[in-house]
Order: sequence, then structure tokens, then C-alpha cells
Amino acid sequence: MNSSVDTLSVTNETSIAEENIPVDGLQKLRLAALNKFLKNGFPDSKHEEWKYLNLKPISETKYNHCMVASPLKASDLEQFYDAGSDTVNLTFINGRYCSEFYGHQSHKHPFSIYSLESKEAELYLETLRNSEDEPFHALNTAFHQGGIMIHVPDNCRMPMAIHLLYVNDSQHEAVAAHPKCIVVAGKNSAFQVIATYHSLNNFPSLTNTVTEFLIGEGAVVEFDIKQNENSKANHINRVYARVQRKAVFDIFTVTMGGALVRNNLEIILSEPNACAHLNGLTVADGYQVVDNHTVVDHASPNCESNQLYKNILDDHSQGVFNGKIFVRKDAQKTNAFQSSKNVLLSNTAVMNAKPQLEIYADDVKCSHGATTGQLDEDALFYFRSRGIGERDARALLNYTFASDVIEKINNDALKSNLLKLLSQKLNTAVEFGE
Amino acid sequence: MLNIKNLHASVEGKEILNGLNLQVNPGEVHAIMGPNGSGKSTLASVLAGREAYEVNEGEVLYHGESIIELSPEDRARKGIFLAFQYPIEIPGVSNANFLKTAVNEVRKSKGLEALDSKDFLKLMKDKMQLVKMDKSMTQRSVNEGFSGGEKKRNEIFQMAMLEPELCVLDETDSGLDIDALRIVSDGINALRDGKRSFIVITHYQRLLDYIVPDFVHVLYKGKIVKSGPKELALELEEKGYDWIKEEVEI
Repeated sequence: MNSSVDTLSVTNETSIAEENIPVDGLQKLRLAALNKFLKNGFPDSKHEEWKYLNLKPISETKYNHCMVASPLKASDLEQFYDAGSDTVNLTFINGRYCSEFYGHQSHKHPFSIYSLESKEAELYLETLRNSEDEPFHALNTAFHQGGIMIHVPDNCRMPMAIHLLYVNDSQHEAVAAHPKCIVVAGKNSAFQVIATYHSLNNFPSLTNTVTEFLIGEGAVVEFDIKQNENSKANHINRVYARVQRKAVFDIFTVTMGGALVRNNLEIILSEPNACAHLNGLTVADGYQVVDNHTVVDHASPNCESNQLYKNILDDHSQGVFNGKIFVRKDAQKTNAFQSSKNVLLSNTAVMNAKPQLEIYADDVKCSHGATTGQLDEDALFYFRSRGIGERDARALLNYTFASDVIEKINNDALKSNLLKLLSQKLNTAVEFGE
Repeated sequence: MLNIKNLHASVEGKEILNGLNLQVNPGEVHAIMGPNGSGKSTLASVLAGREAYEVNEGEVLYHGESIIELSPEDRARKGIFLAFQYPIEIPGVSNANFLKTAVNEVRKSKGLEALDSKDFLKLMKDKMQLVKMDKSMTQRSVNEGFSGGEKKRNEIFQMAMLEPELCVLDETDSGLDIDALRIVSDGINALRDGKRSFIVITHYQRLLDYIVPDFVHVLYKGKIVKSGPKELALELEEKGYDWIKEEVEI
């Protein structure tokens, strides 16, 4: 890869010919993805999937896409270990997995970690999901360096969580990091993966992350995402999961920080009796823009999916929920539910909610709903009439709204960390939780 | 303690209270009765500081100071408590947590230290007995899925926890069966200590068999048109409101 590429100028003539570069499997994928990206460029608001998101903060910033070196030391990262001590911390800096930070941890782990350039990983590259369809995924394929594959063996039930700790170090220049992680869950395995994203910004940053899961038969996997970057950080997050027979995949996306955040979740229930629960909570203020796009693809019969997305939007912030459900022709006895609930705390906050159902089977149960409103004035008065000040009363009501997402997370340390963040974000001293 | 003078108040531009006068001294129990639409619940809302209600004229003095400009939370911190006619369900916040926040806010405003968990639990345990509350009710979300009787018991429980000086009970008897009525009334009576005052708003004399008032007032068309001793309630029960309306019209 040409490491001098620090901006991506796009014209129809720009493309990189294969014959000029020695090509192996991964390189071939990178070239194809880059050429695809260069051909189409960044999507604009005419693109249906991107109509609510102004990508100029990303497309008009000169990022270094190949800056993986960072002077950060282990001691600089301690502040980010917020998923508790009962975790295996795997650290990525500017997209690169840093095995050197693993050394001081005492946990022995039962899973394997492979480089994405290894033979073991080759089987899973681009076979789960072709990246060319989606511009940022293509960009990630072109530029990811030092990504890993985690393989959890069959029947392995892990009590400790895997914490993927992502740091974007844009203290010295604007860095675009393209981390990639593939998680292969063996048959009947059960475990939790927590991804937390952090950025250190003197310059704007872009984190363009891809996480792919293959959830084997009977496996139960929870994936928690915490996005709390600062206001110079832009974030594009893609999660793809293929959920096999009788497997369960639960995902939580909690977004409180970041300037522009886009989450693309695509879950395919590929075999019968697979199940996925998607939960999202966004708490935004200032000029934050948080866009959650989900696709749940019921490709097999007797599968179940349930989506609950909540937004609390203050100031000039904007939220988007676009939830697509496909029910394929053979996917009889499907249960697919979706709900988008939103609270606007100011007159200038905006929420766009768009459910899309495409159903080709005839024996299914599907529902969707979207509500956007304000805090309940009666409840507010009730709290205040008991001596609770207006700001705390509002915060408590916001907490009650957010709690049915946060309280479902199966990790007490992460949960209490998120609740603390929530009270900070809502500017209250009231402690949430039981 | 409370002195209401010539109070005019409106909601959504419609004047509901129309020159109401009422004086409540420490330790007194005042019953406010009256036909539907006479302004009873408006009086309760105005005293608690509900924002939709506007005071157009007159004074509400509490310990000699006007409270009209005070926020609902400041009134609560000064010791005014409203037991709601329709308590609000708040999913996601446990009763215990809600009350701990409220009790400590009130304590803070009095310059007292916040109660720690242990002291708070002890206080809660003591007060729960007053209204025969089950422990499980404190762990459930505020009023969520509570029966009508449980909600009213919870109001009195909150009142006991917050130890107010002036308690305004807005149709606390509505929706209660005889047993629940007795439990709630016993709870209220247990809080009568000779200093704490009560304004009991009710449609029915029945409640006043249990909570015996010092004065009974009839509210009609936004003002108090008749006041008397507790026997007035019996007379109203027997004769209805028509004779009072006639007296007023003349």
C-alpha cells in the first residue's frame, strides 16, 4: 500500500492497477476495495442510506490513513480500562492491535488471537461479508493494518469478557484509524465482547472500525459498544454478524460522545432458530450527529429479532434511526420486532426515524414503531413536588428512559461506568442505578 | 401557618379560583368539600406550584412569606406536601431510590447531612409500618403496576418519609375500598402530632369519619362559601350541595 496516501482525492480516472504491485490474497482484496471506493467516493445526501448525514467533516479533512505509530505508553491507557478487572484487554492504537500492552495482564485466556495476515484468518476475510458494497467498509479493507481475528473454541464458556480497547491518537496530526477485528465464536461457546472507543485529539480524528462475527451453532455472544469520544472525533462503525443455528447474538450500542457517529449494524440470521437482540442508546447534545443504521436479515425460518433504539437529544444534536428488516421467502415463522423511542430536550434537536420492512414470507410476526416526544411534564411535577430540583428531576426521567437499555447489559462494571457517564452527560449529581 | 387571601387563579386562561380565603393554623385539619368543578383540585395544584396554574390576584402566605413565586421543589423543601389524586407511574426508578433522592434533597435544603443507606433503610422501615407497606413495594418502580389503593398508600408513605408541615391531600379517598381507606386514614392520623397541618380535599363525608377535621369548608365557584365545624360535613352528606348553592345565589 502506498503510505503517502494521506488524502483521498476521487476522480473517475483514479484507480490503482494490480500489475504495478505484487499481489497476495489480502492485497488483492485491498486493491479491489480501494478501487471501488475511489470510483464512487464518499456518499452524499442523495444516497438513500446517507441522506441524513453530512459527511463533510470526514471528506474535507486531510487525514493520515496510514499513521499507525504512536508514542502512547501502557500508563497512558489506564484511564480507558473501564470494563472492570474481570476482562481480557486487547488494545488497538490507531487501528493496530498492540500485543505489547497485553503483557501486564494476569488473565490466561482460552481463545486464540491471529493476525489478519495469517493463514488462519484468510478463510474469514471477505467471506463473511464482501466489503465493496459499503464505502467505509471498503475503505477499511483498503487500509486496515494490524487487525486481528479472535477464535473462541467450541464449548468454551468464558466468565471474563474480552475488552477491545480502541484508541485513536490524533495528538500530533489528524489520524484516520481503520481497525478491524473478526470474532469467530465456536459451537456452543458463550462469552461477551466489549468494545470501547477513545480518542486523544489535538486534531480531528476518524475511526472507521469494522467488527465481524461468525456466531457458531448454539453459541451465545453479547457485544457491547461504548462510544464516548470527544467532540473532534468522527466515528464510523460497522458490525456484521452471521448468526447460525440456535445461536444468540445480543448487541448494545451506547453512544454519548463523538462529533459525527455512524453505526452500521448488519445481522444475518442465516440458519433456523437463530436469535438477535439489538439495543441502542444515544445521549447527544451540542452539535453531535448520531446515526444508527441497522439491517436484520431473516434468511431462515423460526428466527427471532428484537430491536430497541433510544435517543435522548438536547441542544442542536441530531439522531437518526434507520432500521431495515428483511424476511426472506423461506423464513417462515419469523418474529421480528423493532422500536425506536426518542426524547427531544430542546426545540432545536432533530430526530429522523425510518423503519423499513421487506417481507417475502407469509407466516411471520413483524412489528415496528417509532415515537418521538418530550419529557412527561406530569412526571416532572411529581418529582419536583417531592423536593427534587428541576435539573435532577429531568435527569432522573432521562435515566428512567435510558435504563431499559443500560440495565440489560450483562456486565456490572461497564454498566456502572455507563451510568456514571450518563449522569455527567445529564449534568446531575444524582447517582443512577439501584 | 398558611394564609390564603383573596386568591384568584386560572388554568389555560380560565379562572377557576375566584377570591378564595383560608387560614390554617399549626395542628389544624381543614376539610375542603364541594361539588364537581368547584376548584378543589385547582387549589391543591396552586399550593404545590404546578406551572400550568397561574395566580392572577391575591396572596398565599406560608409562615408569613409569599410562596407564589416559588418552584414546586422549593415549596416541598419548605414543608408543603401534596398527596396526588392520581399518583404518577414512573417506570425505571425504584420507590426507594426516588425517596432517598427526595429525602436527601429536603435535608440538604435544611442544612442537614444526607442520610447514608443504612440510616435511610431504617427510616424507611419505620415509616412503612404506618401504612402497612410491603418491603417489595419499595423496591418496585414508583407506582408502576400499583393498584389504586397501593398508589394512595404510597403517597402517604412518601408523606411520612418527607415529614412535611403542611399536607394537602387531594381526594386521597377516591378509588379506595373500606379496608384501604382505613389503612390510609390510620397512616394520616399517625402523622397528626399537634403541629402538622392538613388540608383534606374530598367529595365524601366517609373519609371524615376516619380523619376528623377541625373545620369543614364548602368550596363553590372558586371560593369558600360556607365554613363550619365537623358536623357541617354530615349535613352536606344528608342534604347535598343544593341548599348551599341556593344560599349563595341569593
